[in-house]
Order: sequence, then C-alpha cells, then structure tokens
Amino acid sequence: MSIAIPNSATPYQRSSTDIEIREMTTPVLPRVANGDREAIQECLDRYGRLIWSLAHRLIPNKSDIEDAVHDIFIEIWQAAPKFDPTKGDEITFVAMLTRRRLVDRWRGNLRRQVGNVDIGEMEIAAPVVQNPSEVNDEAEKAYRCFEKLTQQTQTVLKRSIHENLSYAKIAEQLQLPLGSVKSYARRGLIQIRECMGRNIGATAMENS
Amino acid sequence: MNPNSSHDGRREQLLAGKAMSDLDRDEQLELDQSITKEELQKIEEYKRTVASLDIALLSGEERGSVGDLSDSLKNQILREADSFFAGQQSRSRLDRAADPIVRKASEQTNANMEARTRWNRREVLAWLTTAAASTAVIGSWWWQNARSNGLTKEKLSRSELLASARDLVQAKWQAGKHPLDEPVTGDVVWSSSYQQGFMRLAGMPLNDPLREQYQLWIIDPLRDDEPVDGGVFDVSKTGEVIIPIEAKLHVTKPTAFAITIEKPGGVVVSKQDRLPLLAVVQ
Repeated sequence: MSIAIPNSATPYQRSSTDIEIREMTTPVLPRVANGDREAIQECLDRYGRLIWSLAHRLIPNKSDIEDAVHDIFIEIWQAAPKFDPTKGDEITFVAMLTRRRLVDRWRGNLRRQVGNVDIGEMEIAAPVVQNPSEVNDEAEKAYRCFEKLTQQTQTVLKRSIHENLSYAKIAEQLQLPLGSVKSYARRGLIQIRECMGRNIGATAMENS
Repeated sequence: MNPNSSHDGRREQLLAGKAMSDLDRDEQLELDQSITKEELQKIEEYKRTVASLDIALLSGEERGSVGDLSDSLKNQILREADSFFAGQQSRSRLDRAADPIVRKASEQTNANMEARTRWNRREVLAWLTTAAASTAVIGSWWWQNARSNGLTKEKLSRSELLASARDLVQAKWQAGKHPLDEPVTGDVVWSSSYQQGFMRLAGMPLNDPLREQYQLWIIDPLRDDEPVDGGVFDVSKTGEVIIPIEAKLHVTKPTAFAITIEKPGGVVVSKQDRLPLLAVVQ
C-alpha cells in the first residue's frame, strides 16, 4: 500500500451555530478534578471520540486502542487539576495529553516491531477538515497559519505531526536530506506559533 | 549578522524540536545544559501548537468513520475513575492530617511545590483565623497519636497504597553495579494506576546535598528505552526512611528501579558512574 498524499484542506467557514456551540461549552476539567461523576461522564462523551480518533491513527489493533484510550483517560483524571483555562482551550489540553501518551506508546511499539510493520506503508486518510464545529479556536488559528506555510513545509509537518512518520521516512519519501526535513518541521512549527501569536494580538486589538 | 540572533534561532529550533519530541541525545543535552524557566514555558506553548494543529488536521470524516468508545469501555473507564477519585480522597485526608518528615530535596526547588507551599501558607492563615478550637484539638490528637505509633505521612500513604492498589509491584533492593560499603535493605513499591510509589531504605548512607544527591530511575521498557527520572532525594536521617517516588513521566509497567548518585539537582541522563542499588521486579 502506498501513502495517500494529503490534499489541500477545505478552508474553515464558521457559522453562528458553531460560535454558539463553543460559547456554551464550558470547561469540564475543573469539575472532573473534584471527582464530580457527572463531569467525568461528560468528559468521556465530549472527548472520547477525539481521543479514539487520534489513537486510531497510530494504533492498528482495536484492543490496543482501547488500552491506550483507557490509559489516556486515567492520565486526564490525574492532570485535570493542572488545567488552566486562561492558558488555552480545554480540548487542546486534552489533545496534548493524548499526543504525549500516544507518542510514548507508539515509540515503545516501534522498538518492539523492528522488522515488522512499516508505518510508511500504512494508508492514512487525507486530513480534510469537514466539520468546523468540532474544531476549537486554537485549532482553527493553527490551521489558518499552517495554510500560509510553503507546500513543502506543510507536507513535512503533516507527515510528522499528523501521520507521525519519522524524519528519516519523510526524507526518504520526499527525497530530501534528513537535516532539511528536520529544519522544515521545526521552522514550520515556529512560524505557526509566531503567526498564532500575531493573530491573537490582532484579535485583541479588534476587540479593544 | 548578529551572533545572538543565530543563537536565539538555534535555541528556538531546539525548543520546537523538544515539543515535537524529535531531539537527538546531543541536542537534548545541549538544551538541558542551560534551559530557563521561560524556555520551559515556551516548550509547553509549542506543544499546544502541535496539539492544535493535530486536531485541525484530523478530518471530520476520519473522526466519524473510525468509531467511538464502546459502552463497555466507557463503563470500564468510569469504574476506574470511581476507584481513582475514591483513592485520591482517601490519600488527601491522610495528607492533611500529617506532615512529612522525610522531604524530597528536589521538591524544594520545584516550581509546583513552591506554588503548593504558597497555597499551604494561605490555607494555614485562613485556617488559623477561622478554625474552631475543637478542630485544632482533634487534629492535634490525631497527629500526636500517629507520631506516637511511629507513623509518618509517607508510611501512612505507603500503607494506603499497599491496601488499595490492585496493580502493585514490589521489588527488594539489591546491590547495583557499584555497591555501598554497608548493605542497604528495603524495597520499592509502585502502582501504575495510581502513578504512585515509595522507596523504603534501611541503612542508606546520609548524603551531603551540596555535594551529591541520590536519584531514582524507573526502567519501563514498554514505555521507552530510556529510564524515567523518578526524582532526586536526600537521606538525612539514619535508620529506615520512606521516600515517595516522583516519576517525571507516566510509567506504564516498570521492570526495575535503580538508584544512582549524581551531582546536586540530579541529571537528565545518568552516566551510571555510581549505581549502588537496584531493585528488579520479579
């Protein structure tokens, strides 16, 4: 099987309903931190599908996905008191924890699978955002900034962050030196962060 | 060209690389050598950017087509949450009732600990101004009673962990690559579901924190080839000490624990020049 090269993504179009949904979605983690069972259930309902989807990209086996999702939720319970709504969206906090746990697990698996399954041969769906209502503000800003990067940088970042391919694999696929791939990925991320910072500043000025 | 801007660019790339978990060992050491609090904060911001982009790149179609959590998995997670929060409340009650005797030296410089200390001070102040005398009497009696039984916070929490953790692993200390002059006895207990554990050490030589400190490492092959930093600690009294483990990363299934002697503050990667104790999980 070959890799499906990601197509250019559909631009975001925010509707008033999307905005309402976001404004109504108050953070649930502070209540989770207090052991509120209703909040725990809500957290499962709110983020279960996202976590499952993120895990599904990296873990082929269903029972292993279940194990990973289970471990991730335990980590979320533990980390809930650390969530600070002034520092970012809750969904991003959850995604950060999820990524960290998945990457740890992924690396462990890779080391045990040397010579077996090659991630580079796995077919991965093109990342086309189709339902902006499921995406948070930070993700939307990140995507808008991502779109401003060169095509080469976008491709490297997609394959590194979304598909979790190693730089060596990306270098091989794109026929680029390893150092260049590393540089594309890091500079791309730096540019996105700078761009998001500028957008936040611009929004603050518009609102003032 | 401004040499500072070149250096800043290099640092920025290392921070971004750290957030993407792509640093090689040399880069990691280069970053760790002079990392600042602001840079640690920046790494978190980069990680948030990565997570945001990851969410954005996850297509709606992908999310819809790969399914969702099954009811049985949801129920299992909810049961686990019940158990986790019940254990947490129990530990919290014990923590409030007792004070630590054996303190971890690393906690003294840890920012989180500083924040917690500040909070404790506020709590104490509020408590002093509002608590009823009877509450103080009861609290004092409880603590005096605990002390008279020779129970420290760590021992109580350890006992609590032993009683409640279903996935507890336990391993006895044995001489490592560089044994100490006198044998040290004791064990280490760890629960992955609670992400908590304790070292019990008897006969451990006292250390001078200004010269060197002990550091625990958790070997967890399922998680990573590199051992997880279990925290820096001091031994400041003779006899048996119980020291809580402060795993810096999530531990999955530890197979062994090792104590090394390092420079004050500990290290990111141990050269294992002095590894006096090892505990292998059977």
